[in-house]
Amino acid sequence: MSPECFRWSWLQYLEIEQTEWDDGIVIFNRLTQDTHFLNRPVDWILSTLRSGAMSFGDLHAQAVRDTVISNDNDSREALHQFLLCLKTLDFLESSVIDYADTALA
Amino acid sequence: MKSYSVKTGPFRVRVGTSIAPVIENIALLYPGKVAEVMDDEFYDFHIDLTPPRSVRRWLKPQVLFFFDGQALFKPLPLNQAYALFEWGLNWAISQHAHQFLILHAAVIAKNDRALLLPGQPGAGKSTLCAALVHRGWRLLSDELALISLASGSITPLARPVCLKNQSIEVIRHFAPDAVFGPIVHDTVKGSVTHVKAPDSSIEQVDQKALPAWIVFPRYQADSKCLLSDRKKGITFMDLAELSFNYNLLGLDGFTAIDRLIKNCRAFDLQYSCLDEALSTLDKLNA
Repeated sequence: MSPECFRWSWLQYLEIEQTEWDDGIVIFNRLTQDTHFLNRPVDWILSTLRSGAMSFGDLHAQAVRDTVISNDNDSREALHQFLLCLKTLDFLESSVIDYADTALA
Repeated sequence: MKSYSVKTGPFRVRVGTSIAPVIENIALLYPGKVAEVMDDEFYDFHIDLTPPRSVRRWLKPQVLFFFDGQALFKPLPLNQAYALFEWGLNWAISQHAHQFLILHAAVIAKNDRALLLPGQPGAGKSTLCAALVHRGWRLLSDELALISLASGSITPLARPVCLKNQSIEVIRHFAPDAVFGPIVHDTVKGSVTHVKAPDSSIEQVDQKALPAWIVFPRYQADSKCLLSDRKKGITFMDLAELSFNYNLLGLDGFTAIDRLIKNCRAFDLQYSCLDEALSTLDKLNA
């Protein structure tokens, strides 16, 4: 399935502590008790999704507007890989967008 | 078997053994800290070092390390009994003293400002530590940095410094007045000995220090001495990796490393010549 088919959000009950350094962000995941060293784009994704779920398309558009990534296919694919990585690390969850619901709304 | 009380830093250890060299070396390397066991006294750790009860003891004498009455490790040759005491005590502290964040690091101090030398075995931290404490720095610990979860201060242990292989002759030459225990050959770490902490460090063992510098040493033969700034995010992750109990402490461990790094400057140090390394590190405290 295309990345555009998914909506991304924080994992339910996720709580994090983070500390910022010149070379990246160290995040402690209270849910898993794991510590991760993440780069700025990944930090931007977590901060952005903290305020609410977003579709991949909307997230990509905002990342381009905020100059977190450039508007090309490689960057779009990188964003998708970052999201999958954050899902594996138990920060994010994804759901398939139901376009029927979207149309009704 | 006789039992002895050994006080080291914040810990009191009961050591039971009939192996004379063990208690002779403890008396040599922990001067003034060994006493008769008192029945009404609390001991943090109960350690026994005894030969196994088998016919093997007559053919190839060995020693077993008991902690709370349980034999924890495979037996070692009897001549390694004192080294086994030191290694076993490291294990006991690192596995039980969770009121501290415990890092695999040597710690020294000047004017109660502590310099941490973290690193995996072979990085050269014990050699550097032994040299520094014989040139005016105070020894807090050779192996285990005990960092208070409440205050971030470092509690001294001032136990003997463990030297291996070529480092033994290097420090013998560098600090001829240093007091050495016997050298034991053919251990899993090669040739090993222990060097007594300087008297001044033992006298100040109750005086905590606040961390000021984190220096990751790396011995590199024939290299120039090079001290370079270290990025703090990667330093955080390296210290978590070098901690004995970071994962067990959870958020408390994260908070403790965060505070440690915020309060310290972090460096990498590459060195081959001890005098150059000492001069470089002395400048940090200038």
